[in-house]
Amino acid sequence: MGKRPERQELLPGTLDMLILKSLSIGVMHGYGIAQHIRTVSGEVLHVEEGSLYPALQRLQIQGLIDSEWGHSANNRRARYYRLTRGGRKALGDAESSFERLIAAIGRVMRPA
Amino acid sequence: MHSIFRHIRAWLRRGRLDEELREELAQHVEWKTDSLIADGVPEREARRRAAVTVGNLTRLREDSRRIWGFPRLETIAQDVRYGLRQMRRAPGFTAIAILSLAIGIGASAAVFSLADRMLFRKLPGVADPDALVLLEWASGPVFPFSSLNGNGRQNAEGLSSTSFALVSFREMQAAVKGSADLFGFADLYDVNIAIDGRAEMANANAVSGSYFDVLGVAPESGRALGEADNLPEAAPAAMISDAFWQRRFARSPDAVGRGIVINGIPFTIAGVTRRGFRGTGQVADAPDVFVPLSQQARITRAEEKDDDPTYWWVLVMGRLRPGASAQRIQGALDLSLKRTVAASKPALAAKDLPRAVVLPGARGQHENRDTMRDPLRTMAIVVSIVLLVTCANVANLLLARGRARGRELSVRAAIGAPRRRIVRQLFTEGALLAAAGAGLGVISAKWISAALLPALTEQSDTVAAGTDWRLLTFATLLAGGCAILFALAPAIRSTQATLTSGLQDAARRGTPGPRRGRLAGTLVVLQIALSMVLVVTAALLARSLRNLDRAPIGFDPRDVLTFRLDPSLNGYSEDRTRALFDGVLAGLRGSAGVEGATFTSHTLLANNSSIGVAATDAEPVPEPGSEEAATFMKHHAVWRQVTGPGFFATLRLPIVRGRALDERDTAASQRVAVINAILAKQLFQTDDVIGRRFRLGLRRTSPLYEIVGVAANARYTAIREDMPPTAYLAAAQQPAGRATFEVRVANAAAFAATARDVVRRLDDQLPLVGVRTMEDRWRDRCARNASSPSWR
Repeated sequence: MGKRPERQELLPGTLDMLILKSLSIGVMHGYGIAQHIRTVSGEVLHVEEGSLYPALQRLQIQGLIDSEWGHSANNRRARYYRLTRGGRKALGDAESSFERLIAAIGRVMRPA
Repeated sequence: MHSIFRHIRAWLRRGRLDEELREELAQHVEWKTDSLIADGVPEREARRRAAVTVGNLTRLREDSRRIWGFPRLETIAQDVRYGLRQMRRAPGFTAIAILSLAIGIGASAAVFSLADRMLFRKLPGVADPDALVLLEWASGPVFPFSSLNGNGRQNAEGLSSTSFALVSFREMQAAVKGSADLFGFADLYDVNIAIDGRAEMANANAVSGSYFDVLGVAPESGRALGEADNLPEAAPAAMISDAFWQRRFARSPDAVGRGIVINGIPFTIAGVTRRGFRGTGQVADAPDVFVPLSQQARITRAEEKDDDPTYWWVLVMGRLRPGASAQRIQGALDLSLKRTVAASKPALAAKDLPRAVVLPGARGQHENRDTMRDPLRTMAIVVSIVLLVTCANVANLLLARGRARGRELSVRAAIGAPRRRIVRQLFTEGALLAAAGAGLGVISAKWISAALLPALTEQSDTVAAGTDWRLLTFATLLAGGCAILFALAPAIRSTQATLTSGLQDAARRGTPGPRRGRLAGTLVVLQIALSMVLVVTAALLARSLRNLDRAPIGFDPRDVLTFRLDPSLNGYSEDRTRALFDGVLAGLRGSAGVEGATFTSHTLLANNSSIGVAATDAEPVPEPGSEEAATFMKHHAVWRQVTGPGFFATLRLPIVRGRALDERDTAASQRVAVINAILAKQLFQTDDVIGRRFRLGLRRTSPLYEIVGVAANARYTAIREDMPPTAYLAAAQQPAGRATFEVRVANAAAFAATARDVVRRLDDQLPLVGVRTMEDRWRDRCARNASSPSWR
């Protein structure tokens, strides 16, 4: 239908960071990651499947996450992702630079 | 770094990764459906919505796929595979295109290879050739020397040459010590070499003490010749070239220290020159043996002493020290040269003294190279035009093909290929054709350059052929350039048609209509224009060749075998030489099928002549060495040919008046000559000259000859120029030395073996040199004359 005003567009490059953050909490499969982001952001951030899966492949190739096949709660075959050590470090770097960026934008938007 | 490995691993497993992704997405859809059902959506609707939200699965998979491998490489590989398939599907078109390109690129590569070897390549095997200089002198019309061995040029302003007197060389060497290191060398031409009794002809150079040191040529084996070898008490030592070492000794290590007899003088092989080194001489030279400069006189048995300051035979080159420049040393060299020449000929005026010229020496001597520039330039132009025609041709073919594939291209555009992609695809196909054509061209370049070589030089066998990296680089660049030239425009043009018009066009099929396009038309016009230029050029060349072919020679060159003997190199005395020549003639005449045999002092239709002065008693003789003498010599020049018995009959040179030379003319009887009509006219302004006398030589005491016959005009050396005034002298009345034998026999080329046997029976240490048929010499002359067209 029409545009739902709660839907927010992601800043480019932040999807990878969100995925890494979600996986830092625990092991998840693709659908689970998308659900997690949607729920925790209060239905504001909806990750398109067309962006999610390529992002997961990309993070895998970069060695930041790892995957293996397992069985879900209702005994279905599913692919589970987890953070690697490199991924944890990358997440830390991404977090700090993101915070720096947000603070800078905030200073411009609300001059003291 | 690790990511590269992961990339490669992912690419290798991409099939399985794709499977897994499909499964993963299927699972994702399932969950989505469940979630919607849980929200109360009916199952059917839930499934549909789930599928829709997951979206274009194919797109998703493609995006993922792109991450796994090397997308750019993969598309290029795809293009190449597709291109090859297209080429296979149209074999006729492909064959024509590749063949045309092979001809164009092959011919260009061949001419480049020739130009590279002849003009551009610096002296091989030498350290830092750019620091080398070559010395030359230039003077006015008065001769500053008495005799000169080497290359000399004469033009309107005066004379120039690279040959110097030994004393001049030594003084110049001392004068620039500190700024440049000079060395001297000389071409001894053909020498008779015998190793363990086996004789053969080889090419020798004499070199000064610092030659190898200054050039920086380390020996391949043994030691290099040095200053010590040039001392008068030194034991004669020689170096052989690496190629000679390969040929005669199969690179056996015991060659060093072996004895080698050069022109009857025993030498010891001291070492082998570095592989690839071919001396510092003319571009096609490759000396086999190097001897010290001090041995030159003994080997050549020249009449003049090697330190005679009026006998100029030493070529001089040098290496500039860092910081020195050619201008800086020119002054000192000039002074030394003028001083030594003035001392040798005190009568010379100051303005007639030669001046020193310093030339770049990175490529050795320049005379032969200079004569090759024009023919090569002509070849380069012709070959470029051929290449352009080829490219226009292939471009047109591709353009036509692009139109025929209109439907295929439209379909590709329809499923989402961006225009750039399609253009790249078409360009790749063109590049494949260019690559194939270049490959074939490089292979045929070797034959093409071998075929063109005789048009440049007579020494075809010494020029090393070979496909090297410079040729390959050139061919690759050329192929790339050609591809851009003939593939890009048609590719862009072919994709200009819009989606619908392409499909509609195909439906209409049989009406290509006026949509031919300007590009195709331009290409055709270009092709026709360039082809016309080629046709005209070819016609002119053909006419030039035909004129040369038809040019009258004066004698009959067909079915004549020639070879040269030089017994003086083996230390023969004059009497022994005469006896030998008589024996050879008898042996030749006795062989089956021989119609006639004779010999001459100089080879006809080769670069071999003897020019002197002929004058009647009526004219005053000018002072030798003066300016009047120079003019006198020009107007009274005569080409001399000493002929053995049976010359006129064997060569079928008709006698127009009087008689030929025969047994009546002996050493005891009056000196006689048979002259040609041109000389008769020059001397006496009439044909009726039987019985008259003329003087051969510039002095009052020069011998007087009586004319006993007038021969028809005939060629001596050149084919294109006017026939020269010639005097034929009897061998019995002249000193005996070298001779070229001419045998008229039915199958001339096959007679070579018999001729060798005849000579070997008389002296097995005497090699035959330059065994060729007269006809071959004639054709070679024509070819070389034709390649320097004067557009007559």
